[in-house]
Amino acid sequence: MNIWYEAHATLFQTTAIYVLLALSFQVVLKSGIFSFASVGAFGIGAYTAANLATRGVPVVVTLLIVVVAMTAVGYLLAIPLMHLRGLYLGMVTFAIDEILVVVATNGGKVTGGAVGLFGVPLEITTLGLGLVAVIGVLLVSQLERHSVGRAIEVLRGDEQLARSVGVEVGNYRKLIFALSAALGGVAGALNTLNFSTVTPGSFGFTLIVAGLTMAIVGGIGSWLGALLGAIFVAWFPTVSSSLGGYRSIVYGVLVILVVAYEPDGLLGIIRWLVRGGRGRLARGRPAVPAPAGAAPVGDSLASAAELGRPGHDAAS
Amino acid sequence: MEQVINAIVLGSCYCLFALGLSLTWGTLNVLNLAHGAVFMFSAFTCYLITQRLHAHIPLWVLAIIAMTVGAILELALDVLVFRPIRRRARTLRDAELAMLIASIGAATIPVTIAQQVTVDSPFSITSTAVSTGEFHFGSIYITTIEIVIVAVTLAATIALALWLQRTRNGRALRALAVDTDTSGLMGISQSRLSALALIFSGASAGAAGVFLAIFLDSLTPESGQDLLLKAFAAVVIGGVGSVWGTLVGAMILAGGETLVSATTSGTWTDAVSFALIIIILLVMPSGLFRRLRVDRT
Repeated sequence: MNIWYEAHATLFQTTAIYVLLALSFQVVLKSGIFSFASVGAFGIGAYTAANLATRGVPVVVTLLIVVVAMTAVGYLLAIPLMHLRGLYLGMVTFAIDEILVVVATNGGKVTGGAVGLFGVPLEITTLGLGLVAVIGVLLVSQLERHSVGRAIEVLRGDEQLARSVGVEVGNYRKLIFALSAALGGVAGALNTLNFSTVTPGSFGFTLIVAGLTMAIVGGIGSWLGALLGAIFVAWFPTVSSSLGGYRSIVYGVLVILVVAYEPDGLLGIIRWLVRGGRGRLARGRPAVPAPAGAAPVGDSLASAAELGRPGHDAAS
Repeated sequence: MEQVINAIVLGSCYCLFALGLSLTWGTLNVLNLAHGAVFMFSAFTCYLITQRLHAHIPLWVLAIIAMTVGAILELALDVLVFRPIRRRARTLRDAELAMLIASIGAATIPVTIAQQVTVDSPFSITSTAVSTGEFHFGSIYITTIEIVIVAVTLAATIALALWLQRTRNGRALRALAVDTDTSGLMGISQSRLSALALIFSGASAGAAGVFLAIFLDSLTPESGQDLLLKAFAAVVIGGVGSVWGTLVGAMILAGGETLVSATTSGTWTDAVSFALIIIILLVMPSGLFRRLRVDRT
């Protein structure tokens, strides 16, 4: 067991970092906000940590600075992006991520240019990584139970409905952006502090793809989905190494199968298995295709009722 | 002058590739990230064929092969991946997201096959008769392939615009973009039209693939991804779903890139497309050519 653990220590570290990135993607996607800004936050967090750690700032202080800074950045970023929805918001945040990569490539001493920064002091243990990941998970899972979480659920299903039952959509969007940026920034900072290097290539298109895959394949409904997605993406290459060069094809096919046939992701499949394979694989699937842009009426009312806020009964 | 011609040819390549992306995004809400992989794999199939046959194959035959391969791949993508997702997704937003991720997964398949066959190295299509011709106009010269690229792009743009405006299917596709449910009630079959749109999209990606492989001398299995990022910019600048907008957007992007790479060290060139995306979407979210439906605000 111990030997096995030591051989796979890097994978455990990667999983902890990925969980935070997956959560960062999940909190926005779950609220119906199609944003890839998590990866930009990852990049800023990674470079900030590199610069602070090389100047001898202690780990805890570095992480706190990253959290505070990224929360502010996320909150402010939400303001100009207020009116964009769907794929258009996705496209802008994608472009912001990619511009940050170009800026990092041309950033001179602060970013180390195209080769990046290396030799950042390794000051964090695997245990420390795990601890930060657990804090992130606790934060998000507590939010799910809280009324904020239920408001977010309505926001995802139907924004108009959310407005009508008194959810301050604008404020929620800003808070969600801030939380997502903080989680992404911490993931980036941990990545630098654990692997001691950061390069412009480490947070571009590839990381957007990885982060999205983790959040969606795992299942965006709950923090457990983020954990499953992170494990899947971090461990798949090692576990499937016997398949050789063609293992990426298996990965691609698995991603398609999960996304196409189980809207709740791996989490949905596991819940189905726990139920003993009874019932339909995807629960709550409407019999007819959902109307464009809105959840079926029945679903909307149900989720509004779940809000349970006195005086805001949507069914009346 | 040389730079202007370069920009026009580059812009044509962007446009030919981006037309399919704009069509599927604008009418079906599918952001197809496998488009780049289809582009690459069509060219890759032509490369394999020219390798095996050792014969001079005329460019038009290669183009037809590439377009067929592209069309088949994207048709398969629609039937096997997008259709089940549309059937099962609870909301439009869930479907958009699921199709985006699934297309990323689908893209890994052709890319991995090409990487394994070429052992991660560039491939080039050389044995065509057409690629060598040159015309001289005073001090400037233009190769045949450059003329072919510009001509085919214009033809494809005009054909798509006319198809969407004049034909029954084209009109049905636009109706689908405005209101899926109502057009369903009017007897418009979403599955049939989305298959048609993806066939066109795949064919244009295939044509772009074979032309660009010859024009640039070589492609790598990852080439499609870089082009995909440029095509996003072209589509967004012109306005999603607008055919002429895509052409104009591609030209603006190519012009801007040529200008930046001529005046700076070249490392900022990639920033042009991303900066244009951000500026356009924040300042005029419907692009330069406004479409009927505005769903961005």
